[in-house]
Amino acid sequence: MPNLSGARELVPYAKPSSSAGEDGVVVHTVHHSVAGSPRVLVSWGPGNTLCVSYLAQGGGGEGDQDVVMNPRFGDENAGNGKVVEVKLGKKDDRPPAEKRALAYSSVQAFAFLQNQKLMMLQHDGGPSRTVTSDWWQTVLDFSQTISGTLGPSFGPPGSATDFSGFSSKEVQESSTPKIEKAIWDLVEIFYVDKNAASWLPERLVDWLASYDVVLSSATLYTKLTKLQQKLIILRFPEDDQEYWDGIASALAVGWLDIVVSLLRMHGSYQHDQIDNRNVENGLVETVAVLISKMPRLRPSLPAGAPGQAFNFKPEFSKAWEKWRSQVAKLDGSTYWGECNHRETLRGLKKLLKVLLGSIEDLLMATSHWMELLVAHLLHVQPFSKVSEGLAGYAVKCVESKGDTGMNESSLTNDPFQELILAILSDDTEVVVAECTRIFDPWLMAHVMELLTAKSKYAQTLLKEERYNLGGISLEELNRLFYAQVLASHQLTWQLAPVYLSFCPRQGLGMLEALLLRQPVTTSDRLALKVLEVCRLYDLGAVATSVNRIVGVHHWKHGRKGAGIAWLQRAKDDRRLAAVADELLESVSLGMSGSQIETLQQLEGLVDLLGSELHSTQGLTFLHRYRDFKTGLHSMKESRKQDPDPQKLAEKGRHAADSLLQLLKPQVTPQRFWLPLLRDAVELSEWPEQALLGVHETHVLLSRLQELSLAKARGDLEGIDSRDLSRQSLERIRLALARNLGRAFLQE
Amino acid sequence: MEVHRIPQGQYVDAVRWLPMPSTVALSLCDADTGLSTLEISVLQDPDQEGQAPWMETHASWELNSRTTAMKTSSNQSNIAIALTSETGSLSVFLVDAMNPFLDSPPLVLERLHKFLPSALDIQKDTLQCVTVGSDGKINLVHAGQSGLHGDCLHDNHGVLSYSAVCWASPTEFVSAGQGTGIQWWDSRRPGGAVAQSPAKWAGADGVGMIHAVDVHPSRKHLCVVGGSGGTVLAWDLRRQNELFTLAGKGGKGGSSTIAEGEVWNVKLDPALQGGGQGESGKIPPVLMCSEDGILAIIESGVATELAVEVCAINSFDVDLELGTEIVCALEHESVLYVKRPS
Repeated sequence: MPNLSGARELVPYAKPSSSAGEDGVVVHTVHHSVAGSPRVLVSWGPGNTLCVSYLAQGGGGEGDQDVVMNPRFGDENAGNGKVVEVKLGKKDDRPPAEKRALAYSSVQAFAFLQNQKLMMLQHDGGPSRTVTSDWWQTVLDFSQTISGTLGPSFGPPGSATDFSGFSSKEVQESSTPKIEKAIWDLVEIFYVDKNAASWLPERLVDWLASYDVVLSSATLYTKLTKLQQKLIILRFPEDDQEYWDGIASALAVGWLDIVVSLLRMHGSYQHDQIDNRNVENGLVETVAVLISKMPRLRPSLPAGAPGQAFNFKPEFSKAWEKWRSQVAKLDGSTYWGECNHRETLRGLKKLLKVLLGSIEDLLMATSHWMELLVAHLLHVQPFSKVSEGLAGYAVKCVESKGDTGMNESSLTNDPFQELILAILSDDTEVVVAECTRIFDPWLMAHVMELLTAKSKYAQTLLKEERYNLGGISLEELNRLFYAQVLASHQLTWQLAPVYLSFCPRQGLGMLEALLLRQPVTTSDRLALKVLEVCRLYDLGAVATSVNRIVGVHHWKHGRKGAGIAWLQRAKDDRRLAAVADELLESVSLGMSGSQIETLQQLEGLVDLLGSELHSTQGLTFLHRYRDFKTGLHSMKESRKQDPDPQKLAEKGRHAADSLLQLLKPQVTPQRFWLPLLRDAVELSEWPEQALLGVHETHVLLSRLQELSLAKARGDLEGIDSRDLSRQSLERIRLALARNLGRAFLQE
Repeated sequence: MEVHRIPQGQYVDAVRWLPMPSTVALSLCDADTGLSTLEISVLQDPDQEGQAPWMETHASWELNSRTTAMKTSSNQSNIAIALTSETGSLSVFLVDAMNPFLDSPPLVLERLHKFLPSALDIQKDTLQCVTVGSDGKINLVHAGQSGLHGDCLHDNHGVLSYSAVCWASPTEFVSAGQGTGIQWWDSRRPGGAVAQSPAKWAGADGVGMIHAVDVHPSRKHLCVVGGSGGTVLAWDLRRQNELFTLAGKGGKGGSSTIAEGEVWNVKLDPALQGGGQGESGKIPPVLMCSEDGILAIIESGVATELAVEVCAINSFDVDLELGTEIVCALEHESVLYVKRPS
C-alpha cells in the first residue's frame, strides 16, 4: 500500500502486479486525463476494502515532473494512474461463500424469533417490556435451528464403529466442527436451556464429546485419533502403554463406547490366546461389563450406548452407590494376583481408580482443563448442581493443568479459555467482551438472543441504552455492526434490512443510507429490488428518490420512454414537465423528414405521459400538440394519396381546431407560439378554401401581436430573439392578413 | 409436491431445462472471483426418504461476462443454449444432444445492444434468435454452423425500452418493456409493431413495467405478461385495447393479489394444456414467480402457491416433457427444485 510517510514522498506498494496477490491485495492500472498536479485519493470500497488511488499527472505534459515527484512511479509508462485495493482487518479463514450461506440460513430464524418476541410483548400489554417465563423455550428452538446451520453434530473421535471398522476416517478429517458451534452450544446450555440444570455434568460430557477437537491442538481427541491409527498394525495392543493411557483417558471423560470397544480389542480375546490367559481375559471382561453398566444421571442415552440412564436423582444415587461398591469390590478382588500380564494388571487397576474418582489419575488421564473438569464432574461429583461452585472447580482445573507446564502462555495455547470460563461462571460482561474479540459480527448479533433468554442481569446489561454508545444498547450496536457487514456485499445487502428493522434507534436511518448507496443506475433489476425493500419498510421518500435517480439516468442516456416511466413512478411533476419541454423542443426544431418518424415514436411517449397529469402545463400542451401534429401530418398524407376534397377539408378543419385549442390562454408556453404560428401559415395557405374563420384569424393575429410586443419589451423568456426577426413576423402577419381577406369573402 | 433448495455457492444468473431428462443449463457468477460460467448439470433425485436431490456438473464453460438472459432450444441434431451478456453480445452454444459437452467455443455476435440487452428468445428448429434491449433495438439473429448473422429489425434509439420478448410463430413475436405496452411484431413487416396494447393498466403506479412475456403455444393470439406490483396480465390480439388483469392491484373481479413485489417471470403452464382446454374464452393456467419469493399458479382467478421462499425468485423454467418439474433461480445463491405430482 502506498504509505504517506512524509509530506512529499510516496512509496509504491511492493508488488505492483495487476493480479490478486496471495495476501489479497489487488493493484489496478488506470488511464486518466485528470489535469493538474498528481493526486492521491483514498476511498472505501465494498466491505473492508480500502482503495488508495494514485493519479500521476495526466494529459500531454506527463513525464518530467512526475519523475521528479516520484521516480519509482514515474518510470511506469503503461498507465498513468494506479489503484491499490487493500483488504483491512484480520484474515478470515472461512470461505466467503460459506459465510454467505450462513447469513442466508440464519436470517429467517432471526426474523421469526423477533416477530415472536413482538407478538409476546404485545400480548402482555407492553409497558413492562419483560419476557415471559417460558420465553426461553422459544429461544431454545431458535438456538437449535442456528446450531443446525452451523454444521452437523459430531461425536467423539471414532465412535464404536470407527474403532472396529476403521472406515470413516477420511470423512472425519474433512469435516471437523467449528468453534463457533461449540461456543454457541455451550452458551445455550448455560444461558437458555432451563432443563439442562438438572443434568448439567452429563450435558458437559456430551458437549466435550462433540467439541473436544476444537479446544486446542493437544486434546484427547488427537491422542485417540493417533491411537486409532496405531491400533491397525498392533496384534497385542495390551503390550503398549499408549493403549492403556488411551482407554483411561476415554473413560475419564465418559466416552464409554470407545472404552468398551477398545477393551474388547485386548489380545486375550483372540482364539489362540484364550486358553493361556483365562483369568486375564476374565478381568478385562469384568471391567468392560462394569463400565457398560455405569449409572448416568440423564434423561436418556443414545440407543446401544453403554451405561444406564437415570432421570430421577434418588434412584440414580442408589444405583451409583451400588455400582461404586461393585467397583471397589473388584478392586480388592483376589483374582488380581493370578493375572500374569503386568501391563494388563496395571492398566485395569488404573481404570478402576478412574472410576473410583482418584484425582491424581484423572489429572494424568486428561490433557485439557475442560477435560479435567468434565472428568471431575463425572467421577467425583456426579450430583453437583449448576452454578454452585462450578466456576471454582473450573478455575482449579485450569490451575492444575497450568501447573503441569503444558501451557506456557495460556492465551496463545488456549484462546478460548477466558471465554469458556466466563460462560461456566455466568460472567456475561466477559462473555460479551471475549466473543467480540474472537468472533465475527455474525455470532455477536445472534448470540445476544441466547444471552438474554432468561438471565435478568444479562437483559439489563445488553438492552440498556448507553450514553457512550450514542444512546443505543449493546444489543442494537451488535445488530448494526452485523448489518453493516451484510450491507457491504452485493449479494447480502438485502439481508441487512431484516436486522436494521429491529434496531429501534438507528436502524431506520442506516437503512435509508444503505438503500440510497446502492448503485441503482447499473441495472433496473437492482433498482427494483431496492424499491421492494422500500415497499416492505414503508420508505416512500427513499423510493421516490430512487425512482428519480433511475429516471434521470435513463433520460440522460437517451432512453426517453424508460426515463418517463421511472419519473412517473417518482411522481416528479417538475422533471416530467422539463422532459415534456425537451420532447417538444426535439419536435419543433426544424421541419426535416425524420421529424415525422420521431413523432410516431413520441406518440407512445405522449400516451404514457397521459392526460391525468393536467397539473403540469407542459404535458397537457404536449398532448394537444401531438394531436395537432398528427392532424397536420395526416392531412398532408391524404392530399398526396386521396384527393377527395370533402375529406380533405374535414381533416384541415380538424387540424385548425387543434391549433386554436393550443393557442387558448394558459395552454401553450409563449416560446412555442412562433412554431405554432408558422404551422398556421401552412393552414392559411390552403388552396381550396379558407380554413380559418374571421374570428379565428383575429385570435392568431392577436397572439402574433403579443409576441411582437414582448419582443419590444424585451421579456422573451426562452426564445432566441433572432428567431423573432422582423422579417419572419412580417411574413406570418402577411399570410394571416391574406387569410383574413379570404375569410371575409367566404363568409 | 416436493420442494428442495440446492445451494450453489454462486449467484445463479439464469437456469433453464435442456431437452434431455433432468438436465439443466446454469449460468453462474462467482461473487468472490467475479468469474461467470455456463454449466450443464444433471439433477440427481435419489427418490429416497431423507435424501435431498443434488446437482452434478457435467460440463462447464467460462463466460466473458455476466448473463442477462438465457433461453434453450433444439433442432434435429443440436441443443442450443443462447445467452445475452452484460456487454451487449449474444452467444449461442451448439451442443450435441447425444453427448452434451461444452467443448467448443460458442458462436458470438458482439455489440448487439448498447445498454444491457434485456431479453431474448430462440426458436425451435430454425434456431433463429430475437433479442431486445433497453436501447430500443430489436435484432433478429440467424444461427447456423457458420456463425451468427444479425439484422436490426427496428431501432427507436431508446425512445422506448424493451425488456421481454417471446416468439409466437416462425415470423411473429411479442415484445414488451418500459413505457411500451405489449407489441406484436411480424418480421415480414419491418415498419413497426403490427399491434399494440395500451401502455398502462389499472392499479399500476404511474407506468407499470413488464419483465416477462409468454405466448400460448397453440392459441397464438393469447399472451400473458408479468410486471411490477405483482401484476400478471393477459392480452388477446383479438381485443387489442384491453388488458385483462389476472393478478395484481386494481383488477376487477376474477383477479387475485398473490404477490406484491415484481413478477419476474410468467409462463403458461405446459402441464395443464394437454387435453381439456375448456372454453376458448377462458385463460389457461399461468405460472409466475416474484421478488417476494412466491412461485404460484393462477387458474381462473385463483392463485395457488407452489413455494414460498424467504428471498426473491428471480426466474424459473418448467421442464419440457411433462411440465411437472420446475427449477427456479433464487437470490440466495441456490436453485429451487419443485416437483409437482404428475
